Amino acid sequence: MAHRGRTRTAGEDLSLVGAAAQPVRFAGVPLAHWLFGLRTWLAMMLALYVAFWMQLDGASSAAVTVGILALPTRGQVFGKALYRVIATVIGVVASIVMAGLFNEIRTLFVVALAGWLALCVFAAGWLDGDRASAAVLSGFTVAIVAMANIDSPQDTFSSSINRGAAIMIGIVAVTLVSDLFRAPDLLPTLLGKIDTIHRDVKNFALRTLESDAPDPVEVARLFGRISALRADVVTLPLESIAGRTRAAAARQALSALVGEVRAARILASTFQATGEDRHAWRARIAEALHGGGVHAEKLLDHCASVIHDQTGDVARLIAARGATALITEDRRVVESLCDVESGRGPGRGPGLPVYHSGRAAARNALRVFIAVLLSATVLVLSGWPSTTFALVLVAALASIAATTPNPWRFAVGTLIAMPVVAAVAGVTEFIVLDGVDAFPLLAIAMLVPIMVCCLLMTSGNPKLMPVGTSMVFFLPLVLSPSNPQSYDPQSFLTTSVLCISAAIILAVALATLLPTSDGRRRRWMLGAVRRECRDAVAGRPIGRQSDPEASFQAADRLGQLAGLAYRDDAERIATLSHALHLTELTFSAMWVRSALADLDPGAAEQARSAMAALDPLRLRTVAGSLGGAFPGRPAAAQRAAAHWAAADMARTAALIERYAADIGLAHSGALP
Amino acid sequence: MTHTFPDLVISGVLVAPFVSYAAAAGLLFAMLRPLLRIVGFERAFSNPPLAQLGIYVVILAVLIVLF
Repeated sequence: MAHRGRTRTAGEDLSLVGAAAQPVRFAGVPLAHWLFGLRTWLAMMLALYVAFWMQLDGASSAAVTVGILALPTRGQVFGKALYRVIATVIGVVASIVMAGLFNEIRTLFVVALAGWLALCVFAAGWLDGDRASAAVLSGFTVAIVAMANIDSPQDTFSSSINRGAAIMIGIVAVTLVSDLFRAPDLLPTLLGKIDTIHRDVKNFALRTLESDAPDPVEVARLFGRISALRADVVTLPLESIAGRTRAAAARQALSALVGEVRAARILASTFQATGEDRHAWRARIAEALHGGGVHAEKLLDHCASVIHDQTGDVARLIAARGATALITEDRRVVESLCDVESGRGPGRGPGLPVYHSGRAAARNALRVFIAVLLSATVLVLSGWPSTTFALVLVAALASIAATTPNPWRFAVGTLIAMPVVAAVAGVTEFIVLDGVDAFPLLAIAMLVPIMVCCLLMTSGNPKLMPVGTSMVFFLPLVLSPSNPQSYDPQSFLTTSVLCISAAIILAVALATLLPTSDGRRRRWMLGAVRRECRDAVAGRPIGRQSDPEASFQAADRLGQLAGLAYRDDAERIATLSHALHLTELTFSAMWVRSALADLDPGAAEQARSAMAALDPLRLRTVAGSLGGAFPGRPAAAQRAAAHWAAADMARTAALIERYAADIGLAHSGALP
Repeated sequence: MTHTFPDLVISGVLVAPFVSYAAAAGLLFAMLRPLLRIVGFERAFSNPPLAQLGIYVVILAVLIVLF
């Protein structure tokens, strides 16, 4: 099989590309992390300088934007920046509309704001990554622009223009600094990660071929690791001119990795069902997977000769098909990785849809709606001045928390970060700066706090990273650099207290208002798996996705299931095993249904009625009588097609026998 | 004779001339990207992002001078 411009073999290690030569360290911290901190500081100061020069109101928004876009690689920065621009435009338009409609009826304005935030959080529940962040940004932009001007709605337009300008300045500053100072690209890291997962998938495949009962937790975790790379892949198009082609090839690689895991499981179940000698096959497959190139070609040729041998053993024929699928998927991964590296390729790849729970999205939206309304009520009743600032912050934090994998951890991180930020900002403003008004001195004073925030972000410690991430954009918010700088302690104290109050309100709201436990999420996901299985067995279509896309989405769902909390390991294994087998039944049923299209009509009708009746015995009988049931094909191809269809039906029959009760189906009865 | 800048007015909102030029330059650069990919532009430079930035600045400058 020829490959376009392939430059490496399957066995070649990508470690030279992916990474880790020993990084240079300074004070125990990798140099790359120090440079990231310096770039962030430089971009923030550049943005502030330009915002001051243009005399923008709310110039600190430019610095906050840089803080939000402070990410280690160029691709991540550009991806987030693009969606931030789009979200700001939508938010600004919504602000103007809302201010125009409700400026005289404040109660209705607050309700409309809560409703808009809830709508944006609901939309974010159906998106992921930067798009989800953009959706919530559209929501709280209305809070920042319209809510903050509730007492002077005529200023909404100029406020929105100022905010838009400040955000654009922040984006231009961070992208300029990233380009000028050669921020690292995402590509080498992504290649390294895909290569590592590929190696693990190959090892998993070989272990699975040895074992009768592969570990479902390992399968689900592999799927989780593969689908986690999707967030990096979607930022590739913006990183370089060849980015779109690279992204398509990377999607191909991820899809092939999922296919390779599935092919390994199917081949293992084939050995178990047919009794074919797995050890001989395993040795050949190991040689092909690790040696690549010539060895893979040799195995594929051997499989082709087995398939075309009309006198051969059926079990060998089915094993040859399974081995062909496994090696083909492995080669697809290798070729796709080469395309990613070279930037060449067909430029089109499968979509990688991820699983989203509509119920979780609706619950999050309702929670944000109630949280904002209750916060507004409490703050209005308190009678404190300037509480719109606290309400805006609660709205923003509640929306952002809804998009994080663990909202409670985000709330705790914010609760820790906010007082620390207030203390750091206070020391910077009243001790370090102490009344100066020269910009260079402001820049020098902010160097250390920003560097510390960035080093925390890149520390690798899961407890410190969210704190650092929060601190880097809360710091300019609390410090609020302006031209001229205000050194009013009362104003600073009010801002700090309101920020800390907002963090406390957020934590209380997340703990008490419609919390979504992992147990509930688990039930929803398993319910979705069962519904899909029932639809597949009944012949109803499952969405409009292609097979690779549906396969990836199912893998992502299993990965998400593996990431939830369980009472103990036994529950984890039981749940994942159940979900895995139901998913396999779903796809097995889908493949049988697609094979029926080529079957002789009589045989096809018998197979359909056996599937609809969920009768494994009848299904096996039909499977046994499929010889010659593929009209219009040459004899050798007929034999092969008959055996493929028979193997799929036999596997489906075995899965129905074992798991029909779990999905609420009865044997030999009509579907509910 | 002083070079006059055309005003872009959208629904009564005046858009600054520089913003118009920057947006137009961005659009032109986006249209140029497929061509740059075909000729292998990135392989000719040690710092491709900076080279792309240079091309953008050139396009922007040309637009400002000519229009």
